[in-house]
Amino acid sequence: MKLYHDTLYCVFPSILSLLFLPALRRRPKLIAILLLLPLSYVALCTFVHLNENLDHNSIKFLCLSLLGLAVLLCIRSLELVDSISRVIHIVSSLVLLVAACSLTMLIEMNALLNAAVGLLIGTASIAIGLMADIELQWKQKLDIHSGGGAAYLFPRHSGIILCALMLFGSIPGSLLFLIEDVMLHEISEFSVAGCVLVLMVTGIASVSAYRLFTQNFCGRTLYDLPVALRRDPSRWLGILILLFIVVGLTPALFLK
Amino acid sequence: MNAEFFALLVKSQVIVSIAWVSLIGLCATLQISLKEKVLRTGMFFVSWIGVIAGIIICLFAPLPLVVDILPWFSIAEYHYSISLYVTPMTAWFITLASFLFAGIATFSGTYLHRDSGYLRFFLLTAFAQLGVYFVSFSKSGDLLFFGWELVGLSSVLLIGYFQNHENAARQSVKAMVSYRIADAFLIVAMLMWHGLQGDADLSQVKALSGDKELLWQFTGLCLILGSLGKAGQFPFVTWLPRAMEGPTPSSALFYGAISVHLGPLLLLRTYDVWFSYPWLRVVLFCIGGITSIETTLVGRTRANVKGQLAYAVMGQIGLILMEIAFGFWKLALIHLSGHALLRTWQYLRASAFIQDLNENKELYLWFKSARFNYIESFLPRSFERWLYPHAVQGFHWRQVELLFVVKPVFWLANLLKGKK
Repeated sequence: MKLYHDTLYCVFPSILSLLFLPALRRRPKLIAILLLLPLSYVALCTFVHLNENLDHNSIKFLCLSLLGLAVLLCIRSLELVDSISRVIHIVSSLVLLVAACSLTMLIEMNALLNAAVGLLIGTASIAIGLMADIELQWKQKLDIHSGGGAAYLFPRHSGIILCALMLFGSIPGSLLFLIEDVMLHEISEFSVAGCVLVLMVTGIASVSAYRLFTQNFCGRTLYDLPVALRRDPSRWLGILILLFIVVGLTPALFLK
Repeated sequence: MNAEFFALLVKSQVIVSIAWVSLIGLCATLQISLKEKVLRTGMFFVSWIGVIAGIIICLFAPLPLVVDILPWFSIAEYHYSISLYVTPMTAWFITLASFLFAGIATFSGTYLHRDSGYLRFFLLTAFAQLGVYFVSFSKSGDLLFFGWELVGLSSVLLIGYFQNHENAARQSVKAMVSYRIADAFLIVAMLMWHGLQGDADLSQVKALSGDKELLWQFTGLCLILGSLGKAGQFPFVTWLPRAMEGPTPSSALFYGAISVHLGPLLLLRTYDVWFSYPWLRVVLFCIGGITSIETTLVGRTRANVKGQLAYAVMGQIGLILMEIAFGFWKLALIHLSGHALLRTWQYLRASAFIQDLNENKELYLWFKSARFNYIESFLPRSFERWLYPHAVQGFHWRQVELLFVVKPVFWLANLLKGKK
């Protein structure tokens, strides 16, 4: 279990700290999904590492199946209406991607992969937590579902969500950069089809993550909504994210 | 002045840019408001450091120069370090880019005065500036890709800068799709390069011949295709005119000057990989030629100034690619520099075009006479009439994209969602 220390180290503090948000406290199902994701990754990798007698073809088949599933989840996320389930689809597909890559890789690389999964789920949980918070505010105060244009009403929420989505979705230096750069080198030697699937997942995931943001936060703003609706998180959330980056992300980027 | 002094100058350019990005990023995260004057002056100051250092390097430094900043991380046999490789070409490009960034800082200071996204604009521009440094100076393909993505991301977010405009958001997503498709080719190129050479070191290409020649050719092809996305060349011709939804300073900076010219710059930097294969040069020449002809014809039919400028930019970059394919890289660099400066000025003056026509009689007379001296007026009248409706439709390229890229993906998405 020591091998997966990085994943758990990155994930649990960020998820637990998000329990400060009332919207997430009311939706334990979301917390359960976020906690299950790293655990299932750990379980899958442990299964493969414990069964060393698995032959090359079986691992290849398993790897390609995981990548295929990741592509389907990503594509499905493009057309889902509920924004939170879209984020969960994207994050699940990326976890599957890392899991598939981890099956093909050198044991020394596991530290990097675990940190990547930790970063992925940590940032995704920030995005999900804040989205749930916005949804709750829309429903409570207006009795309607959000219909885009939320950036005007929730400027700080929107900024943090965009950063979180980009960080796990497409920003360089984040998970996708590591996947595209480091993991792709390894997987290309393992399977060409796998390589194509990895590129498909990373491409579609980043587009889907950004499209999700624009559909929810950009667009025509309802200017006549009461200004009292604005209840953006205070400075503590910024500090929390900085802490997350310093404590969780930086060691992952400077692995020796 | 010895090599260490020049290495320090190069380092100072990059480190000042990183410090500037970190400072604005920290203020944005902690919700500390910065005065407009601080942002404007800061960007101006950072850019001028780049200009002055760039001029000194261009004139006096013993180029090419390799500068190691720090080892980033190493896992197994992979070692990533932040190392820079400065050649006369890249030093000149950075000087030009820094000069344009300084100009944009001055213009944006008043153009975006009291705008709610003032800090966001300067943050994204600072990210782009850092990205340009990495694309121009990186010694390894990995760092180049990092910078390439930073510029792409800032570009996409600046297209969607006006968050209350639905169309701006939609067009920024479309630009992102084009970028991601082209970037896939670039990452494959870097991957192949890494595999063939053992590292993706841009300062030296070890061997192009032998049994791996076919793979090197494939790498060259991927490099060419990867460079086309940002340059807005065929087949990625539809996103650039749509990208004009962003604020004018960002349009000038990205789609008139810096971002679009990163494609030719990438090809110039990786010259050794693809230039020795004639068929790759023919491919590049044809792509440049097709884009030039197509965008010139389509651009003539556009009614808005920024749209016309976007097509004109693509046409000129097509010509630059043709020059590169011929091997005239010095001419290409001069063309690129002049083009970047002219287009920046044109974009920034675009909103005052009518005023300019009224105030400047010579410009008015030139504009009136130039309208009817287009090269296609030499074509037979019947052919011209046949061509016009197709040019208005952008030669139906959007429909092709919709049919072969967008619709299949969304059809599958709907199928997976369970919607009939």
